[in-house]
Amino acid sequence: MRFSTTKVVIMLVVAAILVTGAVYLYIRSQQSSIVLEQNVDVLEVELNKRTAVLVSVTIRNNGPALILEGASLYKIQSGITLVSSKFSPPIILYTGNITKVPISYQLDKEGADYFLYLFTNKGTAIRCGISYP
Amino acid sequence: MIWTPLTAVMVILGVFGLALMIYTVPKAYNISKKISKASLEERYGLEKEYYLLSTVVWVVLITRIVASMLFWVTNESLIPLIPGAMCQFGVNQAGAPYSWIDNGVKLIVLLVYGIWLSLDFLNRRVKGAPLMQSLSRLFLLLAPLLVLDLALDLGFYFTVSAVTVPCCRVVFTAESPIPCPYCFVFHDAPMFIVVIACYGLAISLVVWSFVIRHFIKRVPEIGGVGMEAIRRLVTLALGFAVMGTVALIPAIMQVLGPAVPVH
Repeated sequence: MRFSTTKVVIMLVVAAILVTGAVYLYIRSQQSSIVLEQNVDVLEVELNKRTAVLVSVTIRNNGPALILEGASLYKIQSGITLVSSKFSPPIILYTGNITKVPISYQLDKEGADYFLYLFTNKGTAIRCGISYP
Repeated sequence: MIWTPLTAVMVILGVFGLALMIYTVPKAYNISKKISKASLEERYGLEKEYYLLSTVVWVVLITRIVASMLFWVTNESLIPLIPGAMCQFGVNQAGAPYSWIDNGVKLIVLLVYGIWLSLDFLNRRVKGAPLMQSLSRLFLLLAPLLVLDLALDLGFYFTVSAVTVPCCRVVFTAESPIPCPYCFVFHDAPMFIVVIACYGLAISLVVWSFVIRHFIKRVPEIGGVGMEAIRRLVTLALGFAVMGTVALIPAIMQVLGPAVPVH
């Protein structure tokens, strides 16, 4: 009885370690599989430093028109996506236009490094590095 | 030194522990040395002395276990007070080198001190205190770890100051294969604290049960009480392991949820 219960405990711990590792690898592989959009320049990132909120990102589309469907905030130090959201309605980036994309994501008050991803209808993403404070 | 209520509590616990250590170590040495050659009357005297020692050691070890949990809370509370610190990594940088070793020590204190506590718990339930000598010796074996634990706490909290430190961003970049454990566990996926605590307790309880089994073979007098204790410990370990597994589901959801691509 004791041996088998001990075995169950050890198996649960090992399984938890394996599952956590697998989930982390899955997240990292998803992250590395994001295809980056080449034709868009990030011009400005607006932060409210008092409240540590990411307010907006200003971008210029140098290529054909794109539709932004959503965004997600990836924290580099913890290696995970903290928040993601869909744009409703989607934001259209016309060729040669400068567009201010409103985002309202809370950042860590103590500071961290992030990647903000803006996902397009082409399946690509515009990546924007944010270091705060 | 940064004086906050929590750092003050940590220092007080450290000084208190050190003072009790000075009291207990010579007594434990005295008992372990005299017990094998003691007459029946002397043994009775040593037994009484041992019960006093055991009570004090319980106080020391329990306060150290409380301090080991408070350690993480205290370090988390120091983050806003240290310029440049974004997580506990920065706090540890400010208190280096004591802080880093202290982190490692704090991870094993419950496991190690629990061995002594569980054996003494058995010893108190068996007539004649058959583990008295073993426990006195074991306490002397634990003493260096206890001194290290106390000294590191005092060294760390007296060293840590509001200096500008480089935090985890200098080590954990976008190319790093592993995340900053402090950012990951304490800030962005806090459900993992529950998971780690539950599994840590489950592993500790299983180890304690193995140690008791080892002592049952050496001291057959504790057999009945020991087997009952093993059964309870292992059942409790299973309970904690199940709790950890249940907590793992929301913990994974916490990490996986926002990671689902929006397109």
